[in-house]
Amino acid sequence: MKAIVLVPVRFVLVCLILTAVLAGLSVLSANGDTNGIGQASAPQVAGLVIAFPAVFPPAVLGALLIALFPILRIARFRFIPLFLLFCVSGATLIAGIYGAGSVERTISAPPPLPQTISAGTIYRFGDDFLYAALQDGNMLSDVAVYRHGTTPGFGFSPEGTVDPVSGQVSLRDLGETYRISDSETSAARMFRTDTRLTDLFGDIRVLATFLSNQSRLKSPIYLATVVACILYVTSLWLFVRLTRWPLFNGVLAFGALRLLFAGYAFLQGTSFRGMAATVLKNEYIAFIAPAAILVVGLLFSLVGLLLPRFEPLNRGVAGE
Amino acid sequence: MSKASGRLVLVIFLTYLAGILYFLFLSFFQFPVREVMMNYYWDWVIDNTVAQLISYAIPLQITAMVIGFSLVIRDMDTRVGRARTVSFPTLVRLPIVALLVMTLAYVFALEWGLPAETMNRDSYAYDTSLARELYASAQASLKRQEYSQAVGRLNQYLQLNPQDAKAVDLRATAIVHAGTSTTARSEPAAANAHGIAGTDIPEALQGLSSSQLLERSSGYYQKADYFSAYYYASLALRLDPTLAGATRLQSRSLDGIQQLDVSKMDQKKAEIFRLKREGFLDLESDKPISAYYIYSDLKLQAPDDPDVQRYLAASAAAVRQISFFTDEVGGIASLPGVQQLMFVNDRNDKYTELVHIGKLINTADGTYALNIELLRFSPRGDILLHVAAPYAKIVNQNLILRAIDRRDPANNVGPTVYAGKIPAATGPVFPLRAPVRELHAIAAGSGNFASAGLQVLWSSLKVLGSYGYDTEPIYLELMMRLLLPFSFAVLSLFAISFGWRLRSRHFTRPPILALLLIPLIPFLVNYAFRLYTYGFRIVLGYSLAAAGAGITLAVLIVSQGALLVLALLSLAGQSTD
Repeated sequence: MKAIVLVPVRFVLVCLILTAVLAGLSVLSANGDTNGIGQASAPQVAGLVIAFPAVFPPAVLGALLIALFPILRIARFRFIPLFLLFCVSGATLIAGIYGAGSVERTISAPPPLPQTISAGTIYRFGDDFLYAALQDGNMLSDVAVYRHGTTPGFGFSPEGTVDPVSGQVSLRDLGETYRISDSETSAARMFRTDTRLTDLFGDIRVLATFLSNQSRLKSPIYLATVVACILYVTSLWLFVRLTRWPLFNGVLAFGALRLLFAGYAFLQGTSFRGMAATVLKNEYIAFIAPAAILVVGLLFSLVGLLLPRFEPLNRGVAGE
Repeated sequence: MSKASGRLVLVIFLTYLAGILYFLFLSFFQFPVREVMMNYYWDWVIDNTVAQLISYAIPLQITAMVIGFSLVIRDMDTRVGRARTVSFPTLVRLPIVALLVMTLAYVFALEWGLPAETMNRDSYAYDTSLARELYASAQASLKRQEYSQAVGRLNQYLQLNPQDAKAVDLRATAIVHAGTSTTARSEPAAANAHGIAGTDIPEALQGLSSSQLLERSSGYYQKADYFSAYYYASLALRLDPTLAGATRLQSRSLDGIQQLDVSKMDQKKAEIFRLKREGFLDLESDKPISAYYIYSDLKLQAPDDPDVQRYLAASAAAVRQISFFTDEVGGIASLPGVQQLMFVNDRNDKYTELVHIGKLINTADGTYALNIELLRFSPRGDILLHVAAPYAKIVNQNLILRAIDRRDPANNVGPTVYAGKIPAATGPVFPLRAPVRELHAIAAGSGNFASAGLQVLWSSLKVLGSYGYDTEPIYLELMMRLLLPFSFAVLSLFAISFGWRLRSRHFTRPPILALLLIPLIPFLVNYAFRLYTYGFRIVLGYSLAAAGAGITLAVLIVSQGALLVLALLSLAGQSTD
C-alpha cells in the first residue's frame, strides 16, 4: 500500500525538480543574453512565472513517464498506482497551467533586453563580418561589412540602424540585414540552442504554447488535449514493462514520448491542417490532434491489458 | 582479463566500429556537392567521418558502457564456482582503468584530432571557391588576351583541380598564345627605399669586420672595379654606419660607375657594363624590381661576373622586402590553413583599418595569405584606402601584396585598388599589428572555434579583445571544451551504474525485437547528452556574463566534482547479489 501511495508522491517530486531545472535554465538563458561580462541581469521571479507555461507541460509529461518505472517493483494491483498517476498528473497539468495563467496576468513581464551591437567590435555571420566604428543608441555610424563571395568583399555604409527588439542590423546603403543573435562571435551566441535540439524544442513549444493559449480561453479543446496527452504517457506503461530488459524498455518509452511531441507538432502543422481542411470543418480540425493521441493511448492501454502478466525483475527467466 | 572484461572490450570496439560505419555512410550522402569539388570527395568523406566520430565520442562511449553493463555482462558472469560471487567493485575495476585510458585518448583526439580534421574538411569548401575564382579570372584574362596571366591563373587552378581536362586544354591554348605575344617590362608604381643598403651581408662575408670590408672596397677601387668597391663599402657601412672613409669611398665608387667611359670597351663588354650600371642605379634609386630583372638577364649573358652575382643577390633581397615571387605561391592554395579571419589592424585618430584574409598558410618558406582585402576609413566616414590582392606574403610583420614573376614582369600580380591610393613611399606593403602566431589566434577566436585546440583558444583569448572581438564566446568555448573530458569520464561512470541497474534479467537473451532495436539507443543517448551540454552551456554562460571567468571555472570544477562523487556513489550502490 505504501509503495502505491509513494508513486504519485514521487511523481510530484520529480515534476517539481524538472520544472525548477527547466524554468531555471530558461530564466538564466533569458537574463544572460548580454553584451559583455558582468552585464547579465539578475533573475527575477516574474521571469520564472513567464517561463512556467513553456516548461511545465514537458516537465509533467516527463515526470509522469519517470514515475511509471517504480511501479515495476509493485507486485500486485498495478492498475491502482497507474490510475492514481493519471489523475494526479492530469490535475497537476490543468491546475498548473491555469494557475500560471492567472498569476501571469497579475504581473508585468520584464521588458526584453534591448539588443544592440558594440562599437569597435567585429561580428561574424557565417563567412560575413560586420564592424561598426560608432554606435549611439539604435544608430550606427561608419559600418564596414565583409561579404564573402562578392568582389570586392568589403562594403561600407556611413550609417546603419539596429532594431533593439528583433536585434536586426539594417544597412540601407548596402541593402544588407543581419540578426545579432546569428553572429558566431556575439555574446548572444552563448545561449543559442544546440542545432541538434532545435527540432525537439520546437515540437515541445508547439504543445506548450497551444495549451497555454487554450487555457486562457477555457476551451474544451484544452481539456481534451491534456487528457489525451496524460492518457498517452500513462499508456506507455506498455513499454515500461514490455521486456525483462528495463534499459530497452526505457529507450522505447522515452522514444514514444519524443514521438508524442513530434506527432502533435505535425498534426498542428499548417501542411496537415491544410490537408484536413479539405475533408473537415474548421471547428473539428482542432480536435484531430487530441483525438489521434487519445486513440493511440487507448490502443497502447488495450495492448497492455492483453499482455501476459510479468514476473518481478529480481527473478531471472529464460529468454523468449 | 576476465570473461566479462573481454566482452566489454568487444562491445566498446563494436560500438565505435558501428559509429565509424554510420558516419562514413552519412558522409557519403552529406558531401556538399555544390560547395566542394568532386576531386576532394574521398578526402572530405574521411575527414568528416573522423571529425564526427570525435564529436560524438561521448554518446558512443555511454552507449557502449550502457549496453555492456545492461546486456552483455550478465549476472552469470559474476559467478565463480557454485557459490562465490564476484563483487561489483571487482567487476568494474578493469573497465574503470580502461575508461581512464580512453579519457586520456579522448583528450588527445579533442585537442589535436578534431581541430585538424575540421580545418581540413572546411578548407575544401574554401579551396573550391578559390578554384572557381581562379578559373573565372583565367577566362577573363583570356578574353582580354592577357595570355600570360591566364596561364598563371590556370596553373594555380589546376593545382587545386588537376583532373579538369577542359582547364588543361585551355592552358595549352593560352601557352601557345602567350609564346607569341610580346611582353613589356614595367616598373611597378612604387618601390621601397631599400637598395643595396637594405640587403643582408652574404654568409661568406659574415666573419669580416667593417674595416676589413672597407679594405676590400679600397682594393677594388684601386683596380677601378667600382661595382665591387661600392658593394664592399656599402656592406662596411651596414656594420658601422659611422665608419670614416666608407661613405667617401662609396661616393667615389658611384662617381666612377657613372663616369666610366664605355667607348673604350668592346661592344659586348660595353653593353654588359651599361646594363650593370643601369641595374645598379635602379637599385640605388629604390627600384629594386627593375634592378632585379636587369641582373636576372645579365646573369644569362655573364654568369661568372662577380658584380652580376652580387647585385642579383642584393636586388633579390631588396625585392623580397617589398614583394615575393609568384612561384612561391604556386602550390600553396591547396595546403591546409586557417580561413576567413578579419581583424582591426589599426585604429587611431586618423583612421580605422580592417584587414580580411581568406586563408592563412604557413610553409617552410614563410607565411602566405590568400584573398586579402584591406579597408581604411576616416572617423568622418571617408574611405581612405580599399585594396585587395589574391596573394600576400607576411614578412617581418608586413603584409606584402605584390607578387612578381622571376622572368616575366607581365605576370606580376599586384593589388587591385578600389578606393584611395597606395602611398608611394611604402608601396603595397602594409604593416600588421599582429604577429603571425596572433593571426592564428585571431582566426580561432573569430568564430573558427571547431578548428582550434584548447591551447590556441587560450592564446586567442589573451589577444582577441585588442583586435575587435568579444571575448565571452571564447571563454565559454574554453569552458565547454574543459567540460567534455570530465563528461566523458563522469557520464561513462554513470552509464556503468545505470546499465547495471537496468540490466537484462533474461537468462539467455532478450527478444529478437529488442536486439533489433538496439541501434535506437545511441540516438536517445545523444539527445540526453545534448540536453546535458546545453544545460551546462546556459549555466556556464550565465555565470560568465554575471560573475566572470574565475567564478565560472569554479562553477565548472565544483559541478563536475559533485557529479563525479555522485557517479562513484551510484557505482558503490550497485551489487552483484
